[in-house]
Amino acid sequence: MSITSNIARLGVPTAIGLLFLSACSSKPDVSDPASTREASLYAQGDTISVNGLLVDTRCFAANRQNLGMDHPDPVPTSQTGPACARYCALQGFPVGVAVDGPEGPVWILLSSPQVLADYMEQTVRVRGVVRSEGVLTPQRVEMQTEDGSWTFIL
Amino acid sequence: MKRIASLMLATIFVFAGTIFPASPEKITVTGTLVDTKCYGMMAKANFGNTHKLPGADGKMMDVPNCATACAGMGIPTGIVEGGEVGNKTYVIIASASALKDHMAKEARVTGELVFEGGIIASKIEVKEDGEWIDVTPGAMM
Repeated sequence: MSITSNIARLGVPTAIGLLFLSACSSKPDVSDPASTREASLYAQGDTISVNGLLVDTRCFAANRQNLGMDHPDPVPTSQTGPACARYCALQGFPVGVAVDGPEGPVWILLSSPQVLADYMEQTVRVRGVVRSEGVLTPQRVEMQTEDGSWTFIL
Repeated sequence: MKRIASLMLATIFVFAGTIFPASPEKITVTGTLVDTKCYGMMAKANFGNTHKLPGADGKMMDVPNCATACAGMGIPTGIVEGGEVGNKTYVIIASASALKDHMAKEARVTGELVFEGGIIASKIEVKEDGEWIDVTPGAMM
């Protein structure tokens, strides 16, 4: 068997693989990002209620394991020690509600993150107005207490 | 043997795309910086730095530098794509107070679209005197 035929035999499946790979990792055209968005599930102006964990969107976006108060992989690399989520909220990074854990959707809250800094990592129930998909202006934020009841925090 | 090897190679390529998840979409948005809270309530009236809000008597009144004040209080900053009221607005995942002096300016935000409607900004520029000035907050990374 010649080298040429070996290359040819290896080349065909490799090319097929590369085609699949490029298809799997292809990205939409970012020159027109609005055109790549799917239609919103929620209409702007809808009032909805979402439950989930209060997260710092900066660290959580970088690594979805940064779900609690202390982050295993903090984004501001200078930030060491506990209470990273509180630190980020106090710095002004927007706060969000992670629904259904690390892989679920996130609702960014259009409110002062500093006000919510002490409640990071808590289970919250937020009632608010949808500004766009994934963005909510909160009207009422409640935290779940240890006995399962809800207490008003904003 | 060689056929098995080639099949294995092809399989690796096929599954590589699913083993390593696609990284967040990189994006550059050019538009106008807004205070997301006031803009969300009354987009047309609250597109600039002076906003219209109801006064004590219920009548609408002008509030100068309202966007600057809101950003200074930490209300997340957004960028309205294309600088036209009603266009797609992205929330900038950055310290709003660090951008308070640039509200209502033409801006260019480069970053990753991590959540629907939220950009992790790696670079934030505003246009001043026809030139792009880098105003990325220092603690972004």
